[in-house]
Amino acid sequence: MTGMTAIASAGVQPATYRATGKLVALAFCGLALLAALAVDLSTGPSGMPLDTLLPALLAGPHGADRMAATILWQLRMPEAAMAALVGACLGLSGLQMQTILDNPLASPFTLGFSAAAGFGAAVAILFELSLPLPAIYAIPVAAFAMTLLAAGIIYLIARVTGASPEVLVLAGIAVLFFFQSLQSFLQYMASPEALQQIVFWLFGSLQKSTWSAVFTVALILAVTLPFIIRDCWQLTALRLGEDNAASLGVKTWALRRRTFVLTALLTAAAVSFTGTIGFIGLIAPHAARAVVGEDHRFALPMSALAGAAMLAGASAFGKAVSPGGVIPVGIVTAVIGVPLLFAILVLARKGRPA
Amino acid sequence: MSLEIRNMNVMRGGTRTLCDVSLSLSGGQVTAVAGPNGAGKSTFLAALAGLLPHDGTVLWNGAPLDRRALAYMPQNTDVRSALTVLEVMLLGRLDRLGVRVGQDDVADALALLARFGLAGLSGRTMPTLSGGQRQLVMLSQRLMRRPQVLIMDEPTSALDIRHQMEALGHVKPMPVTAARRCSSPCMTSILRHDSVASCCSSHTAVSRRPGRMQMC
Repeated sequence: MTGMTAIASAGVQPATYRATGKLVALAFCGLALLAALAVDLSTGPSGMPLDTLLPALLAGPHGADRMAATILWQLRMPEAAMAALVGACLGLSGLQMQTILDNPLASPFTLGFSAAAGFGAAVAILFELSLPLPAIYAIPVAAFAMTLLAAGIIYLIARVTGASPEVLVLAGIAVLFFFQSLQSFLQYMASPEALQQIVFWLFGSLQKSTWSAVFTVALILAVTLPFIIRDCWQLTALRLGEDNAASLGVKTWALRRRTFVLTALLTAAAVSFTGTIGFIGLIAPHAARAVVGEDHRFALPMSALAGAAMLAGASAFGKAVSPGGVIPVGIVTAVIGVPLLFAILVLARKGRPA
Repeated sequence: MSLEIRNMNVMRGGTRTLCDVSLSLSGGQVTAVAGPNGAGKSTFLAALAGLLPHDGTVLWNGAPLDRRALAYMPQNTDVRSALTVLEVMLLGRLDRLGVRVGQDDVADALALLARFGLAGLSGRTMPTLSGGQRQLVMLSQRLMRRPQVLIMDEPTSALDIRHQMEALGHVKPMPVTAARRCSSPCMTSILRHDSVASCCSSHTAVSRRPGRMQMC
């Protein structure tokens, strides 16, 4: 009887009611991101209590307290901003990939993008001296180019064979193994010093963040956002399945193609400055769908916010655990992320009506 | 009101699966498409819906059929993702959906669900419904488009006899007042000549040889 009344009352104004709930969830996730960023900014080798942090934040990069200003604005802020941006990029591209490939396993890892970026970085590290650019630019540029190359290869294979989601996933995994082997070969050939550098890059770390890197990632995110927003409903329609979406007028192949280009750009931007942090791209979308459902108007921003909050949190955790030497954030994300993913899967199962 | 199909040919994988189909269907009636397996029924319906490349012309009231005026329900409509029933209904009006969802669209969706006896299910996710309920939701989603031409490929395969009769009763031509501008289906194509579907239809297009189709 109570069940019947619950259904009846839910039927009165479900759309407005549910949208409010989803907006509240988005706001909560935004607050979680802010909290994670605050903790991230206040932790570090020298520490910084909140009562120093706030004045230094408000005073800006040219504040009177020179030491606090330098630590905050030159050292910690780029890392924190990078964590939020990279997390958002990975969350967005992960959700888009899972939608266009109709596959809950899809992520920047699965499609070989991360492996390609790693190979690009390894090439740049190994041939550092013969490159025209200094390493700080050469590594991200090479990683970015290699990620786009991997995307191009997958795209070509899909184009030739008819672009079914299965073929895209298969091509992605093949590309993953291909670039991983190339990268292993380079590691095998490398000198011990270069090898150490390559391995450290592959861990994925925010410590190489600079303001120019932050602005580059922010720019790419800003350029792709309007296109992502425009396709929100089309992507939601794709969740109906291929035949249904096509019968409603969605040009599924064109939609897949443009979304694929966007995800390649976002992933390339995210991984080329930080290294292999792919796990966020797998679990942020699952978290987002578990909380706000399949409607991409809410799931996309939620996935971006969740990814940003997770990476900022992981960064703070990595610094807090070993105040002296920072644990690379790529290691922390997987260690924290796996229990989190299990928790999400269990909660999502419970929340589903029988 | 009439739907004219002239000299429709469909090539699939190098073979001609539909051969010079010419049919004339008058508006406001239900037409069943019948024929043995592999006769090209689904191909004909998908081509009519504009989803398969074909030659020949399809005219609605003398003008080329506008895709916005038709709704097509393919054979396989199963939804595996956790979309809610209301979201699925709203997607029926994909062209109109913006950042905000119009309250009239929501009201129409709820009214249609109520007509199919699905009123209490609007907040449920698709995988939690029974196969028959899912099929009814997908059928109502097509009616959200207020189609002038409704094309359905085995729309009632998962329904029990009573629900088949009911569902097809809803899509049968009805006075415009009763239709409440929610739907005015003028042609319904249904597969399976041996089912309840053909009892509800007034006309049948039959394909006796593969690729050929004629009225009877």
